[in-house]
Amino acid sequence: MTCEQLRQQLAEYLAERLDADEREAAAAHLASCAGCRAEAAELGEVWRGMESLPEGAPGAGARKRFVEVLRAYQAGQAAGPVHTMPRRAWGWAPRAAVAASLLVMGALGGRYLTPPRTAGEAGDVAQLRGQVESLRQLVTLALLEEQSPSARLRGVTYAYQMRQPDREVRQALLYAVNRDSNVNVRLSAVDALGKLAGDPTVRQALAEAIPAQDSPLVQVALIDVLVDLRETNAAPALRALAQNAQANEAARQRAAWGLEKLEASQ
Amino acid sequence: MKRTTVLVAALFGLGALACKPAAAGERIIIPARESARPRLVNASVLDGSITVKSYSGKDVIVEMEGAPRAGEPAAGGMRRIDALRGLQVTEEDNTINVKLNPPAFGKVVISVPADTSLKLKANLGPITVEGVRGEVEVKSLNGAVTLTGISGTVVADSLNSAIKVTMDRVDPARPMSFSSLNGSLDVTLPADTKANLKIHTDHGEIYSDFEIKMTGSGTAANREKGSLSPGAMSGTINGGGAEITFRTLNGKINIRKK
Repeated sequence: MTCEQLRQQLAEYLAERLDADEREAAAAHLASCAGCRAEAAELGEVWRGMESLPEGAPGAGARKRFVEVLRAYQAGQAAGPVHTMPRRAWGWAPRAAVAASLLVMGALGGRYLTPPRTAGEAGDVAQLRGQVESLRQLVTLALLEEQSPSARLRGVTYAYQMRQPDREVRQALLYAVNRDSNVNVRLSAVDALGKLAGDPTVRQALAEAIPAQDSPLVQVALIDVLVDLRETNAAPALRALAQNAQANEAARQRAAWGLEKLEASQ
Repeated sequence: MKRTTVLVAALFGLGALACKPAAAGERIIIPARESARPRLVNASVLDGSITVKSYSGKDVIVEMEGAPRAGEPAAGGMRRIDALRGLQVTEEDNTINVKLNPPAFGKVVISVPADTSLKLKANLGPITVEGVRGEVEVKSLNGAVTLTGISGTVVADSLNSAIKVTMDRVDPARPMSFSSLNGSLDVTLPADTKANLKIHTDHGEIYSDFEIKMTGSGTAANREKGSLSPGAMSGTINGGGAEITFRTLNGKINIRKK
């Protein structure tokens, strides 16, 4: 087996997916080749890191997103070698996407932080900034799908820090407000969406989220945000909540307060 | 791929075997598996309480203490036979699911290896956790939440009850969040914790013995902007680091130094 052949089989080898003959050949090569041993050790580290992420079927968009990142990275400045996963390792794509994004973010981030010396470099910086932004978006979306609520909280913070979160991120945040199983994640998403208040569809979605919301804490947070934005279109939702005898008392009171404020600010 | 499918099928098989209802006083032991990945215990006890304690073993042990609601002989020798007093414990991959549904009532006590993550939900009864190193997610309606000796990260919310947490170590990379509508929040952090605090409270008071460097006082700043609702206060301790959010409407917030 040559080093080139081993490199192609390395991922399979680490995943223990090679058959007996191939495994023996790979092991024999590794025993005799220090360079390949080093590469295997490095890749093994990344592998173990990815193993610690929860197992899950990749979403429909994951493959597409991964290919986009890879293309964007390849089109940009090359910053160093990246281990590419063989096509057959499909189940690892979402984690590979996160790992690749983080690797590239680190590399690009380093370049981005160096102040530009010439006008030409300033253009490069703008391009890198764009790439960092789209990587941040990918990481956000990946984090928002994690099983751990702490990871989802981090995803919302990432979204909050984005300059102009695109439609996919906004949808993900709205989904979090309406459907996340953890109240803390929902509350955090309400804060992040409050920052995007310039968009009327976001304001409308926030108002629509109130009747469907089962957590009074989140209802109160939504009311506060809408009142802050002086969103008078939210008045019917607030009135419905204030008059809903089944709803939590604190939420009803907040809705009544909100209604007063909105009517006063008109 | 094939190997994974066989492995998963075997685990489901094991999981099915592990699923059996237990009456009061019985214990269910879920043995340790070969995987080095820490496990997640997902417990949902609607009418009872949950107590989780860490211990030095590798297995997860689930016990139930508590008086069954039904089953005692009623008049005329008739006995209720439809009340399910049982506990359902199933294992799926790395997650152990523990369920106690109404009308069953009881105190569920789970002993776990220290590095287990928890996802606990209870409506009526208190939730108590001691000495766990991992991620602790807690949802309570009316029962007090008491978490002590936790290393890792906590994300907790309650509707009406107090949340009291003592952290031995805070994981700087993972945000924590505590929310309650009417309950108070009392969190103790190691004195050298580096954190970015975000605090929302309407009518509650905030106390702390940390030196908090305020970076934004919601109310004053928001009033200038013409904002109509109270905003969040933000500050850092020891230079900033882990994000910790506190939210309560009517409760008092205590952020204590250990």
